[in-house]
Amino acid sequence: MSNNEVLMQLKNIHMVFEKGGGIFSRERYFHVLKDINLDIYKGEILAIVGESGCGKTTLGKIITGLLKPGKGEITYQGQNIYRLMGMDSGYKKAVQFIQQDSYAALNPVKTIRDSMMAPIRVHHKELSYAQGEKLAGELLERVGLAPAEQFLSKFPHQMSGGQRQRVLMARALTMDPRLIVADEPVSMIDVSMRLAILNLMSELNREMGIAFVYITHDLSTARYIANSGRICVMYMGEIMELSSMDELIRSPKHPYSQALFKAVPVPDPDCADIDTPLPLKSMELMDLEKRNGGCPFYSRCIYGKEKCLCEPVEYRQVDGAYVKCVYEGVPKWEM
Amino acid sequence: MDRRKSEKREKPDMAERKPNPGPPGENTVTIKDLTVEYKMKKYSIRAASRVSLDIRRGRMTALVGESGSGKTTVASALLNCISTPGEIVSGDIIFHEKDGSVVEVGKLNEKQLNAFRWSRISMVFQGAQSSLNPVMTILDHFYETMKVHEPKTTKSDAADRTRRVLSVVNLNADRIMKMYPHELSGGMKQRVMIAMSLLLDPELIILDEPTTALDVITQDYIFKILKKINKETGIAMLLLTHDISIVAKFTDYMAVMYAGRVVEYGRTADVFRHKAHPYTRGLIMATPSLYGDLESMKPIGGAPPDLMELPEGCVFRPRCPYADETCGREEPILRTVGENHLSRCQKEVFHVK
Repeated sequence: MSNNEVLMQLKNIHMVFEKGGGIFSRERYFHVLKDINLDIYKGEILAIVGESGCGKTTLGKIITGLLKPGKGEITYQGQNIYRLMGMDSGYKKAVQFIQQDSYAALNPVKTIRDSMMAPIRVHHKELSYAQGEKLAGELLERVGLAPAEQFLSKFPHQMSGGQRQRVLMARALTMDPRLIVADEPVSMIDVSMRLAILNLMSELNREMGIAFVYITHDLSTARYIANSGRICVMYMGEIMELSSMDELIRSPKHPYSQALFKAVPVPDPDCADIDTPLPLKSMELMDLEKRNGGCPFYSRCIYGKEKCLCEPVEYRQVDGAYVKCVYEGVPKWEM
Repeated sequence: MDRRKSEKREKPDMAERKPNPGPPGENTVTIKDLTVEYKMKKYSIRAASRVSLDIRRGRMTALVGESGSGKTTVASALLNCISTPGEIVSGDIIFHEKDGSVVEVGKLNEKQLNAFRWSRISMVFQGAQSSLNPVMTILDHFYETMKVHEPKTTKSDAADRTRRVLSVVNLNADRIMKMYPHELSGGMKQRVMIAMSLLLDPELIILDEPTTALDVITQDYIFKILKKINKETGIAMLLLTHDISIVAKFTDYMAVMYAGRVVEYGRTADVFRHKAHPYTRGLIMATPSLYGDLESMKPIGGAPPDLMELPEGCVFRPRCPYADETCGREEPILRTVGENHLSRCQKEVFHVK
């Protein structure tokens, strides 16, 4: 249920990490994120897909305000979030973050009741303790942990990974958020339980109108949750392709997306094609320090031309998708 | 043992070895009724229960299961290195040499075991990052391994061998050998580990989630290399994984494990086509795919089993949508449901016609 009202807007985000800089070595800088422009709409599901180290978690942290980008502007409902940072503003409550490791995200010496009550005590001062506890119970049941009394007095180690992930979801809901950024929420959960968590997220999206940013390296789960939403493919700190999930599944347009699609294994032995190599020039990654304005995918791209290396790449619009590739001759995708 | 070592030195090296040293498809390892228990003071946990498995030459066999299903226990038992308080309670692990003689892994003494491990069965561990020593160069890792098995090896011998195995995994040996682990990317480290597992010319390589920490493009690349080694040299491979998509794409045989039991075993294509056990069925339906219908996908209900409180009868019964009261009576045995295809479900409807 997304409409086209913009909830958050990211403009020209740059993020640089510094490395080294000792007595003998010069400081080195890594562009972790480069020129990210992204709108997040109300009530949508946006999947951010990329390999490890592409900057997707950094981007998630920037959206939730946990990291401040080097350059760029982020607005929440039209207002710059760094002017909104005070507790009274809506932003801090409205945008919540769910981490990958649910065990690390919950205090091991506190019961689920304590973990749930902490944000309620701070942000719902009007509620008495008993009322707060009632709210915590309701939210736990909302995320499928019923009966709540049974779970409230448990410790994190007494629950399964899937249950802990649901607690994190319930804890985020105490703030009545408008946007939840979920960073790899299912990668540490057993395969048989993953879909249940993803289903819960789409249910919350549908019924409560909460927008989700789903960060993952797994295209298949991204397709499952954001089937009617959008997807953003990242590579080495840049957005390579941004389009609706439908369009991307039907025809990925960036050479990187195409290689990625070929590499994802499909759970059907009849589709297995292990003899054709991936459409890549080499496996070598570009040295992050050496690149100068050109396309970061150049070293692996089979369509790469001389100009790709030095010319800055602009976004092109192809069939409703934004593609960051100058080369127009990338062949149409065939399944 | 000495006899084997002298033979090995004369053996042609990896790169020159011709395809299929033994007939492909023949067993390299046969596991029969393997039961492993972890014995605590008050209770004991049966991590593997009557596991039988054939691992075939020149084929990739997958052991699929969720965490705690007993995959790693079975793999450790293959090398007879289950750590205390675990022990092999019953069952045989029979290793078939190429010349037809057999080795019973359970009967080897400590000295024989040390020579057996890595030279006959080697292993690629999950997380190559933590398997390499950060203060040793890559060449030193290989040299150290060879030195243990063949004490007379010189460093230049080791360098020659290392160069050959590194080229099998498409790495530039001369550059890589001098490097330290932190200078390599995750995918390169994992390829170094694969090269190391090839070093002593084993008959079987155990791959324990070899690509979990890597991105899909690197994963695909590494599996293609493994598959090539598997086909061209005839080395058997046992892949431990939870990812059924990888199994579908790269393996020839698969065994599905649940609560320490093999619930289905067969050719990968057969298992996917017939899905003779409801757990396999559930697992395939719970795995999202890039193509195909999203509506039919659903998670398996309930929670993974607690090995300390297993239900009576079929262990999958509490989560099984097809279960009825007959499933609670006694634990079904693994029975033949098709050619080379076994399932531990008593319901005839799932059996191959």
